[in-house]
Amino acid sequence: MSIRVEALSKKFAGHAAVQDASIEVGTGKLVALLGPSGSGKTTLLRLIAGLEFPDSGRVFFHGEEVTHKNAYERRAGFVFQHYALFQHLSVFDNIAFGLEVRPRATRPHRNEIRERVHCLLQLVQLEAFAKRFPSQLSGGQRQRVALARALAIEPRVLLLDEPFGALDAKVRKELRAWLRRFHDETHITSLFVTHDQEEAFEVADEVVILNHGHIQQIGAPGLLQREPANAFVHDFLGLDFQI
Amino acid sequence: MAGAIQDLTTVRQSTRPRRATEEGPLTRWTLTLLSAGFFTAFLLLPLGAVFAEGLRRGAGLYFRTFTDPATLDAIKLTLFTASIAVPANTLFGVAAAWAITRFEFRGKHFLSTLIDLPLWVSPVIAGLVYVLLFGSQGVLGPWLKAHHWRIIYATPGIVIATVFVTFPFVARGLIPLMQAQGSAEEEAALTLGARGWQVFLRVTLPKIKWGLLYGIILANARAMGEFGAVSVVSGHIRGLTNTVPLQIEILYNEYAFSAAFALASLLSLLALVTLGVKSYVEWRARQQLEQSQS
Amino acid sequence: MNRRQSLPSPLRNLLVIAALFALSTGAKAAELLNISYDPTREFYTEYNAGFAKYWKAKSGQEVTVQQSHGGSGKQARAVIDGLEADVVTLALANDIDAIAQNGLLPTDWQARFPNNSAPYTSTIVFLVRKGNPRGIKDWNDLVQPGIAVITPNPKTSGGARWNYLAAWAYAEQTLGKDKAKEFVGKLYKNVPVLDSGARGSTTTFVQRGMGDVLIAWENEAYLALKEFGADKFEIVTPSLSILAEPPVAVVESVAIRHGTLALAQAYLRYLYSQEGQEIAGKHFYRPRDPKAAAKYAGQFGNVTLVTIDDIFGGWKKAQTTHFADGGVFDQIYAR
Repeated sequence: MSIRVEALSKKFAGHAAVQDASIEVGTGKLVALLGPSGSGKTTLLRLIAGLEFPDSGRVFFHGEEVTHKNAYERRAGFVFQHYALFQHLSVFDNIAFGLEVRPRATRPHRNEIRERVHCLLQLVQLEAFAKRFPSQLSGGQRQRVALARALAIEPRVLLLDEPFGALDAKVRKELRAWLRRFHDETHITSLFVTHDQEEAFEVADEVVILNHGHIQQIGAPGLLQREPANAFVHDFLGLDFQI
Repeated sequence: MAGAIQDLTTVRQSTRPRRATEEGPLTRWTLTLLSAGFFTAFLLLPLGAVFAEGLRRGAGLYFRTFTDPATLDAIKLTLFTASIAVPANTLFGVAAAWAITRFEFRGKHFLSTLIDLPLWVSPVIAGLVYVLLFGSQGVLGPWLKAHHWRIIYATPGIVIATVFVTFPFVARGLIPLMQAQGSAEEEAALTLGARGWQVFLRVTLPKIKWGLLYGIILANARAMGEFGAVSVVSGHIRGLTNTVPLQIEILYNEYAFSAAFALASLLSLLALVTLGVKSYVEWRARQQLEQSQS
Repeated sequence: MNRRQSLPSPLRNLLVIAALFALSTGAKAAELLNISYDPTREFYTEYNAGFAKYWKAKSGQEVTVQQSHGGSGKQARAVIDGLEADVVTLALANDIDAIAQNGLLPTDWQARFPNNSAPYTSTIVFLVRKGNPRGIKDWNDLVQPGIAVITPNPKTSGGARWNYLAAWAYAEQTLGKDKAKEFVGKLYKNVPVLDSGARGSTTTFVQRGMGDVLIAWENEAYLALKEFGADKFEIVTPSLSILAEPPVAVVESVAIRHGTLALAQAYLRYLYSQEGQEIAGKHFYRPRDPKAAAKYAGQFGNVTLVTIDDIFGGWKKAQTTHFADGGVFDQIYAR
């Protein structure tokens, strides 16, 4: 399931958040959107998720145009920076949510839902926490629940918005490694946003660098370091040779 | 809702070392005594007087007040009016709060201001506006007469006037709450495949339920106690277009003072119950807020 | 559960109520709406019961009369704005004239019933505290400094206008035409609060204990005496007062629409009957009927009565000169 974005543009109150962005995420790849704050990376992610609609441009999931489809029609799993877990529901119910709201025709039987949720709890190593509530979990645990919840709907793509931004350094490193391993196992097409260069380079197959809504460069981490496309990329990555 | 929650902990804990943002004990005690004095003078004493006057001629007369047919009709009309005004404004309030906190549209600030309008306008003016609109000499008068529709000086007019004055309560209880809560959970629900109404029922409603309840009980108290606007559009027809507040005025004007106060004590009881429910709701809401922020 | 059990009791009650309802709606009942001024509450409660009995005996029809009371001007305004009165029984002819001007009843309404459509009369007297501590004897005592006078607002209350005119009439007769405005101005300076209706002023004086003297309808003053005890208040009848003729009329456009024209006319005509006049006298109105008048003459004080036509040239002129916007009342009260 690939993602393709064509000349996407979005303005907020006169300020151009994303300008003429075109990227491609191949099936099974893990791509990072990297840039300073205000560079438009979160907006771009939300445009792909269907949480915002573009002023111009198109979005494709595996060749199928989804530009004007609502978020609930796109089946793009989304993990928020601040988890956005349902506070009034238990961990189990949070994860089951996406399955519970399916129309009767496609909704799995209750037992099947239970099985799937427990499978996912195992995957994120939180089986013992099924009955707990989000307020009783640590930051890292909450993010894993958020991930399990997004995966429950068997998403076509996985979108993560600074998934580790709200966590402390040690947990961040652990989860980073965990995410890479997870991706290697599941091969789900993933796109994640970060402002942390180290994180992007460590985890992603490919990195997209943005600034002021414009895409600066796209490429594998090594390529970017060897051949920065312009002065901004050069400075942003902290490279120390002259272009 | 966040702004309405009062923190009483500073008042209670007076013997431990004080926090940096607290005032010294003298200021604290002065403010506390002043508020207590104000509360007693303007709330407790009048409330006590209402009950005392109502019972002055004995408990028998007190209870007989509520068997008088005109009084019973007034109680029925008040209940009927509230049973329409409160749900109508709950629906409207939720819709308006949703629109204002979740969407960007031109005229958003205008709508927000419009919602607050009934709070600034004197209720009597509100009533007069309806007379101007629906009265015989009014804009819609001839049309209504031609269709034999009675609005002013009949129950529909009373209901409309009551809906107007209780307009803002639910919306105002919800808007700051929903703004503070943000829409992240709703967005998450969307990405998980929930449609609009599912998002509302499964995610939004459980989050706002205490703020919603708060707005509803305030709207109810106001709907049942409204005097000015209803008095203008009522016509004061005994047994037909008098609500409880109007009936209290009538009893008072007929020298049935104890009966008037007995009926007034009913409204006072409603006020006390409202206060009690409101305190409970605020406490639960505070709990919920603390939980979600931990 | 035993299926042979009788209906559960809430359902049974519901059926009984439904049956009674069906039975009761068999007889065709009629309804009248009587829009009246403030102090007639007790009078119409008794009168309506009497009329219903009379009408049932005469025609077999059940009739319910709905009542609404308030300041005369305010009530007239409501009728003009659509309050669907079958009959109006207000404090003064001008208020009914206003309704006539809006086309709701014919402009010659006053000729439709005897005595200028005023089945009883009243006048204006004073109510003071028992023992008359301030020694109020006549109108000129009311303008003394330090006397608090309670009277309602002439803009909304019919009784208040009669009060004003009575005071003016006295001033004209005793001090001369050019001194009247000054006299009435001094009187209103002594008024601490203007209630919107006659009953409101009575309550202010009697229940709230404000004021030294209440200028009131005669019937209102006697009623207050009866309600609150002759041990608390007493009536002072001034030397001169105005003959107040509170009129009645059928609001023909409404009655025709409701199909109650004949019933409404019968309702008002009954006011002139022996029984109607008897009830009026009982409630301290001065009956027109000579027999009833003689019977109740003893309960009233002696007073020289002048009419509005004598002094003011009729209600229309009085209304325009004194009570319209910018009229004499506005001038003296604004100061």
